[in-house]
Amino acid sequence: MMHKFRMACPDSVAETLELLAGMEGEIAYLGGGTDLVPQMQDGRRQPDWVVDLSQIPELACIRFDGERIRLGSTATFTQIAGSALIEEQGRCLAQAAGQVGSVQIRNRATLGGNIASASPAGDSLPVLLALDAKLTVLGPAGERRISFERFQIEPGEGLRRGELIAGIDFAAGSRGHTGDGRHVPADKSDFSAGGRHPIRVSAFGKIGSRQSVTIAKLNMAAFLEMEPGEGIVVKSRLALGALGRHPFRLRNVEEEMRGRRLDDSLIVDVTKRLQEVVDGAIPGRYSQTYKRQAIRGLAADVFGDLQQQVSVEKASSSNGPDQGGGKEEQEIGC
Amino acid sequence: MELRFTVNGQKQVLEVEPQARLLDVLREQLGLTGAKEGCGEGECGACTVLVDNLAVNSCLVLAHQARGRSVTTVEGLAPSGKLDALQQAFIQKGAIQCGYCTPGMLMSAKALLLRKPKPTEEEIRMALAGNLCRCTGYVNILRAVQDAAGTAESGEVRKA
Amino acid sequence: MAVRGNLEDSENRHETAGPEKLKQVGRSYPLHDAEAKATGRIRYTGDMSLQGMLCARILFSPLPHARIRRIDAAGALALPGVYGVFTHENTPDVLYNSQVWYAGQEALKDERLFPDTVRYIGDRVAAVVAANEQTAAKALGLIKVDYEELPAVFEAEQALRTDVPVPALAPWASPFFSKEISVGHVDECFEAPDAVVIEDRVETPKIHHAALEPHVCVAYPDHNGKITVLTPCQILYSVRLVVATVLGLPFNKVRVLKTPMGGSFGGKQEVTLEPLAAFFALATGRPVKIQLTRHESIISTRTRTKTIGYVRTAWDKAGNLLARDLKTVIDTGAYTSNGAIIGMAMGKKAFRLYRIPNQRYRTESVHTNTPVAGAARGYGSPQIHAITEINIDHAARRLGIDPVKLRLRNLVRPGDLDAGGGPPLGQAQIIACVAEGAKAFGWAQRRDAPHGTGRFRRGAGMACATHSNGYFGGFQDFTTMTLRMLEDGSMILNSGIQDLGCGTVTSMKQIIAEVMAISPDRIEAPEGDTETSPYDVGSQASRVTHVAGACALHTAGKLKEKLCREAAKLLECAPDEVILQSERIRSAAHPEKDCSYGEMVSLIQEKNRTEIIITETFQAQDNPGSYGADFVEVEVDTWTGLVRVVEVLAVHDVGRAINPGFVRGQIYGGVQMGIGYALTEDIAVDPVSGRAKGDRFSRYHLVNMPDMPPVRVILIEKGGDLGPFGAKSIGEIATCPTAPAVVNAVNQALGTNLETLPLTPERILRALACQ
Repeated sequence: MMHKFRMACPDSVAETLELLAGMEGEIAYLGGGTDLVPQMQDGRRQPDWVVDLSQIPELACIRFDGERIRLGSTATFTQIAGSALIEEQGRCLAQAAGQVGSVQIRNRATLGGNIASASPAGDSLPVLLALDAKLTVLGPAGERRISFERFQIEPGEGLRRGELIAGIDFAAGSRGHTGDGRHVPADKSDFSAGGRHPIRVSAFGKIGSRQSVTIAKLNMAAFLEMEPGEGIVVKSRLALGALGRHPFRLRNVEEEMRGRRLDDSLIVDVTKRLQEVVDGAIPGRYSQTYKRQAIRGLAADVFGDLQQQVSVEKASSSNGPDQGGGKEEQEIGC
Repeated sequence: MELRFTVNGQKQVLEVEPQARLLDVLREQLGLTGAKEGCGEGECGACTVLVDNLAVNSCLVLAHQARGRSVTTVEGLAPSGKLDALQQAFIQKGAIQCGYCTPGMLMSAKALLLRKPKPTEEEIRMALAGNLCRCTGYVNILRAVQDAAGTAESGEVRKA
Repeated sequence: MAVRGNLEDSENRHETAGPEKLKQVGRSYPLHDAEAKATGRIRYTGDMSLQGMLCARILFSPLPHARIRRIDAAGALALPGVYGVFTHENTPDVLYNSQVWYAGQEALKDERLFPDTVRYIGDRVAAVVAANEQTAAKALGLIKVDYEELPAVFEAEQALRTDVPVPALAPWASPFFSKEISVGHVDECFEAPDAVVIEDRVETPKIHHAALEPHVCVAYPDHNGKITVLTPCQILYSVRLVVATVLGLPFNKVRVLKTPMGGSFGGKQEVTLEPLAAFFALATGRPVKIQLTRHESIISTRTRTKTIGYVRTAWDKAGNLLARDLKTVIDTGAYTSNGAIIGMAMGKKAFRLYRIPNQRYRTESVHTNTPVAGAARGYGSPQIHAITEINIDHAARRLGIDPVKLRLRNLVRPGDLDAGGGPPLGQAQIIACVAEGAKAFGWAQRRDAPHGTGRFRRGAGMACATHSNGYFGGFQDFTTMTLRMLEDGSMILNSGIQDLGCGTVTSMKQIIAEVMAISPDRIEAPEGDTETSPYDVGSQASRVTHVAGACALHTAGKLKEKLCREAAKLLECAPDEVILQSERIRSAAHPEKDCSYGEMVSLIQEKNRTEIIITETFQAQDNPGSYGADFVEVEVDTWTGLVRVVEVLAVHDVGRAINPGFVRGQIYGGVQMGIGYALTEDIAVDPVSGRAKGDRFSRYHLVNMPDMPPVRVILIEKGGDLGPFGAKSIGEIATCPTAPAVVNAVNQALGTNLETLPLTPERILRALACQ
């Protein structure tokens, strides 16, 4: 049974900030409630205030500003998984969103909530690292922008009193966009390889104890940018979750991948390195033996997916930037 | 705190404690006991209801989060007394045994068919992944949803 | 995801039973309450609200073993809305055993409402009865308990070691029960020089029954000192016995009503919440509801026993099973429950599946400071068949003989006797099950198909099982029913039946309808109420269809005789000339003078001054085996250790399907439970802390819909035994062969000899690493 608390149900971000300024005691933000409600129900959390963010339209958007994909913090995983925009510009996020919990959970759980809960196994978190996502945090001192990576690990950079996560954004990742935010017109690419667009692909994978509705024992997200001609890796970001308190980037492995072709020998080498990462992350832990084996399967899934995407991209490269399709809406809310 | 929302087509104005979950209000204040609490953590789906036609675990939603929304429970599936095609199929296909998971199963299936009237078998399986059943092995539940959607296959068994 | 077959199973029934043309039996009617369930109208116990009803919440022990020095309930009692706080200090200290189902039954009595020494994490320390759940929960948090921690034991084999000084086990010895059944010359067979000896150690886990309805009970007192208990139970008269004993009430002052069952699988067979609710209701003078959460249901009610099985078999080169030496170590947890008789239940099965001239079975049961084991679907059968069937496959590998051929050589045949001295096996059709199944499954092709050498490997496996049909040969087994025909021709069956969601009510109606030439929906068959229902042994021991169903058949037969006798007087003919057809009655000689049942019953009342009513007691006269064989194909991901069950074929010898739809429903559900038993389900008591790791659904995985394979069912219906129309049980046997079939398939795919259930990814990868 829940401890008594007071509840605020603001309609806008401005109203929220105003309300927050006047609140005393522990404040809990309520997005979908899928983590917070059961935690309050069994007494693990006993906030004085619950601020419901779930009906603030400006926090529920998914949009593209020409350079970056911007998600409001209460965009649900159902919205993210079903968004053609995310599928096209940050596929690994759509994949992860589609593998969070069940339909019922995805209909309520939000990206911002996943960040705030900071579960070691949160499926969206390695994705945000692989996409090098940035957060927009609003508070009494105004707006603050911070990379998700710093937000989750740097002391003092997490959520401060009176602040809330308003949005998450990352660079559009399809061909036609540079990946660092600059738009490249289709006919004037500054990419060296004969003016052709780089190929950017991303993928997410997880291993749980069953096919679906399962907490990850391991999860991984990868983003690759490749030179289109020879398929050489130009840039990559790789992140692993469920191996310690927070998911983390594998910068050494990323460095080693640079300049190599995305072939089976690369996967073999990366897998070996991933096993070392597991050994380093959870030495002596009961789960170490299992995870160092199982990560082989996860790597095969994620890199196999990347390889497949690259071959599809190559095949369609003559057709110019992909306009997406299949999924209905391009933008939600806002 | 006052809560205004619509339940099974009926406008409701209730005095509701902030800490009440949607499930609690439906069951205790409105007497709609179709939705059940099977686990309290969103794993079993016995509490599934629709909020604006999306399936949610009503044990994970605070009642006030449903303000201004339209909630449908299993009691709202047959408003005029005529059973929904899913209800008929569940009865006829043996998809019900102890019946405790049935309201949640029906509501998840209803949400699926509202969005996708002719789902594939895989889509049905994924749509009902968050609804546990211990009696039926899901075999007849899958069959009932296919039957209600008119996608039931007939004829010989295909080997997997 | 791979392409799957659809789940439509063929109308596969192999019938040779009976020449009679059946109109009602053999038809798949829906459940009698299916519409109420589909509309949410049905009221389960947790949905009930009575005037002035209070809520009770229980404080469960956070420690595995501790003496309670002091409980300070002052804070809780001071809270407005609290009606009482109950502990060992103010509740009866009557000791009882939660599994006894008849007065005079012998069993170790070691449980009480609230002990002064808690024996496991989940034991009952105190309870608060309050105006509502919120207040009760808040008050629980205000109870201060001073514990003196005591040493604890979490593993059965540790509890057996005499060098471990564990007061946890006092005042009884460890093991508290041991027994041996032996036939033939076992040791000599193992010493024979040419015997091939196959030895295994198989471990099966404690699992949660996982009925979707967590445990719940309501009790209320009346103005004359009678207490009424509303409970979704399996054995009304067991509840009455325990409640009356603990509360010191006459049996007729305890009324137990069976409420709609939100799933049980044995989990609600034993008496857990009922005496508490009854005591609180008496103490407060108010209706009281106790509703457990899922977590509480998992840790504090009942589990399947954890069982360690040692099995040795001796074979000749041709594959004849010469001898078997079996030993089980049974972990019943902190209280005895059925910990003694379940060891015997396991042992008896071992003599009823294969022809084994020389066999010894030994069992030892121990207490540990872990959740209490008790009745669970199969009552030991899933455990013993996991142990023995994994061993049979192991033998097949070593002997180089196909597992189906090896089994066909050794399985029992129709008409065989029980080598262990139990009741005859009856029309034991396990050979038909295996032969038909192998053909339909394409066993030879699948078995010989390449496993693959890459990441994913395929394998096929199968297993057999047997189960009982009631208590005949062990305990008294009988049922009494009262059947009436009313003045409009409708009927009422009064009996102690308890429908667990399996279709008992509808099955009884079908049996009676068949005899009475009436439509099943013209019969009302309320479930049990100890105040108005005749005695019944309960929905346990796979006895309902076979024994209670036979009672319904006999009672209907007697009622028909009476109706014909009375009608004959009015129709002026001999009783055997009266014809009942489509709810109309006439004499053979004057077919034109035909009237409805209602008209005839009214006329009998008016002219003959009597009622068409019969009360009949039926005593079970046989206890044949039910048999089943499951065939399974799996795909194992050798990199992640995850297993996908590709397809299951379940073949069951059910004698006769009263309602084939219900029978298949039981099998589908049994397969789901069996796959979970093989692969994922384990409450997993931590060997250091004694805490269950699988203590909620997010950490205890049932097979969900995406992981459930297509299941095909073949029913073998050759009748011949004394159940109604030859019917035998299905509810428990349905889950028995599945787990060992899955394990055998995985072992075939990988060339491993995995023997510890469940086959988690961790265990699979470890076994692969050892290869």
